[in-house]
Amino acid sequence: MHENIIEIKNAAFFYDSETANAEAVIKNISLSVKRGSFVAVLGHNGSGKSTLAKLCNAILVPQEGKVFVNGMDTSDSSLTFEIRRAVGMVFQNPDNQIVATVVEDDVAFGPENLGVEPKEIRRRVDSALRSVGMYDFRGFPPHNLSGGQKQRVAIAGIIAMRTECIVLDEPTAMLDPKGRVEVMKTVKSLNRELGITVVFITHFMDEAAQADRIIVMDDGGIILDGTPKEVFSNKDTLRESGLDVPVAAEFADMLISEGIDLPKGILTADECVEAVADAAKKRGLI
Amino acid sequence: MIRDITIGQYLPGDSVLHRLDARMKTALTFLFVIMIFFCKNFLSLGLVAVFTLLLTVLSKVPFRMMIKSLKPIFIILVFTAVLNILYTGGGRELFGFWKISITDKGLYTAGFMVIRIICLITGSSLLTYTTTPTHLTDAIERLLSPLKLFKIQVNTLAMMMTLALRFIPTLIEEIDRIMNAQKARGADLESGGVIKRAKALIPILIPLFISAFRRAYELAFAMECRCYHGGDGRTRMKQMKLSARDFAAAFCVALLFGGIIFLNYKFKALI
Amino acid sequence: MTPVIKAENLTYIYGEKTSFEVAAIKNINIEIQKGDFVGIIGHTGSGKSTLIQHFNGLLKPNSGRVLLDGSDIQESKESVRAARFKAGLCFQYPEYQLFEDTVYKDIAFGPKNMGLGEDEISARVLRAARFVGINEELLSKSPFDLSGGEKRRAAIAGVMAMEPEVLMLDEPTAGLDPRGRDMILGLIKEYHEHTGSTVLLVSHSMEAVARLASKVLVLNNSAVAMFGTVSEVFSRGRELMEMDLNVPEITRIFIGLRDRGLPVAASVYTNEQGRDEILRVFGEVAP
Repeated sequence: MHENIIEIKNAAFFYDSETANAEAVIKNISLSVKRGSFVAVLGHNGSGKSTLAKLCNAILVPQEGKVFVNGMDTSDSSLTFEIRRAVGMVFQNPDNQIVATVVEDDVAFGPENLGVEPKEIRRRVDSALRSVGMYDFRGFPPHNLSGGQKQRVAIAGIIAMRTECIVLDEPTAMLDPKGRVEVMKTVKSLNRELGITVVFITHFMDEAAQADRIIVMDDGGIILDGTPKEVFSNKDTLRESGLDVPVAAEFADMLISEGIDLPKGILTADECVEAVADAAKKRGLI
Repeated sequence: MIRDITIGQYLPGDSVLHRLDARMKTALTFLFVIMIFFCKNFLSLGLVAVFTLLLTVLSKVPFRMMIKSLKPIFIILVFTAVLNILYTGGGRELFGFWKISITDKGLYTAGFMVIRIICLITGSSLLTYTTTPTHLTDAIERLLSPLKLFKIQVNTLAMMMTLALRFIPTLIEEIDRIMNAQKARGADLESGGVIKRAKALIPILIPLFISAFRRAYELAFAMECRCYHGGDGRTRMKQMKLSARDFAAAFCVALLFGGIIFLNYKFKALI
Repeated sequence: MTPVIKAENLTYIYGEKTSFEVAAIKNINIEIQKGDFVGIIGHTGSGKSTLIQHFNGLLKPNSGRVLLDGSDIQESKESVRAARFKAGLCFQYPEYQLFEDTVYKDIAFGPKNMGLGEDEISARVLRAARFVGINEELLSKSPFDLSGGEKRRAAIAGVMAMEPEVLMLDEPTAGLDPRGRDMILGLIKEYHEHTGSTVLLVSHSMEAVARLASKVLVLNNSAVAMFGTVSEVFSRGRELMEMDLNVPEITRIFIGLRDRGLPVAASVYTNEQGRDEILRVFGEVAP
């Protein structure tokens, strides 16, 4: 059992496409993802974050350096199957990853490909659908579901393969606020309750803030890596790289620069309310 | 408007026909279609018609739905009838007018053909009305599996059918969306002659194709990530099992076949 | 003054006379004045998209009517067609409607359908392209060679080039990263200030609405829940939250502070207002 489920060592990746919009490359990245952790990868479009995701389950293989999944080298094509079974992937467009005309058949697709026994598939499908809260929709045709529901079905399709790690490549980019919350809640509970490792790629900082660890990418490299508090304290770096800074953090900073004594490291609205209320108490206002 | 198109429409229900094994149903439907062409006289065809009617009742498919499925072929029916009435040679003339002569044999053949087509369409619609598309593709996959001997990738064919069924609603929605977007830019899709109308489709077809290709590309990635590697070593969650009901159905169809042969032979004179 | 858009008892039903009959919008009455910038918010399925598709005549109401500049859109075939150009509508993910072999031709599609002369078309295309920051060398390229953000902007230019009196955008920033989003919102704001035309922005982002709009229309369960100025609507932040809608993060902070008993105003929706409000309240007692 490897402590790090994903281990990226000095990986570099170039697209040799000649077109004008050639995608960003990965430049000499080293990174390890601990088993059971919830890592968010934050970056603007073209920062290389999607390429990084594709390196994690052998869709892409780095030209330089190595990527290991559970100690398996992704450049060894005889291991591709085992690697994809360990690290599943959920994509941005919910419509383009559902293959069957009925929800439960779609969730069964992965285990069927793996040659699992029919009765065992049934068990896995039912438990996967329950853990994403879509069991009641098992007989539905996918096109009658909302975006958030489709993404949850896609997630169930991955966990039914008994993957240890899920890489989600901007799973919320095309969803409405309700769908985003649904997906985030599902992913968090899978991480907490089933111990599944999560790599969550996004450009929404409020989603990244819910992870244990945030990796910020820009121009194919890692520019920040740490807990949400550590990362969001680098407001200027984030802004320069075209990312948002939590409103509460920005607002707290504004007040601090006006001479109001607030603690450092405020990230959420609740923390901000707390801090401002404390300051008001000191002044005898409440 | 575009949403009204239904392909292989399934009507949920729990009739005897719904509960039959999809493989048996598909195979029997196939046999049934062949049998229709075995009928040589009105008696055997009548037997088939009664059988079809019985099936429709058993399927609990509303009569109005059956009529609906016949609607698209109405023109073919009329055309067949007219053609047969006018061009069937021989027989006794019932009505003569200018160069046209209508004979009893003409009428007889026309009626025969029309009933035949109606039975054909009704019988095969019953299959799609009572079988989910998933079961139908599964059944076809399994029925065709002997073709594997000839190195035909039956699994792949079935996967393609499933994906097509899966994406029909998605693409219909997409067409709707693109049409609205172009109409909002003043595209005129409803007026003008054939050429103008065909040209007006370009702003819809190009984005549609581009999007379909993009979807196909992304879907292929997603399928690979879920370890899809063709049919080898693949299992299925839903197993198909033949039950007594299925053999009973096969027996009924066999009886029908016997009946047709008997009536054809016994009443040769009516041919 | 005649409102530029007036909806009277507008009702639209999907799947009428079938078993899935649902009212997409119910009995909507609103007036939008010339030059307004209206943010339209509400859940998916609350009727936002259905509503704006009535304003350019794409949908025909089951009952009620829409007056555009005082005349009924559905009066005749010609008036429906005229509405398309008077109220330009840019759909969600508009880059998926690009189809021509050059960006220029694609932007020119709308103006060409209006039956304008070559010179006028070319002037409009160049104007719209300049507005969205598509430079001239890109105009001769295939739209499919552009980057994601450029495609989106080219598609928006295609609607702007019709120079509509009312510009309606359905989620123009969907799927974009913060930089792309800020760029699109910036150019919409500039377009509104520069041309003085009416803008309707459908958005899930309360921050965007708070930053740009002068009025907010809230749809809930297919009906109008609120319609007023930005501060009127966001000062009812708690009601919005009860409808399960978001409010700007800063508004949420101020709702929290009021709950704690701090006498701050309820209608705060930008950071600057928030800062001034805190300073005002704190300023009364020197620290």
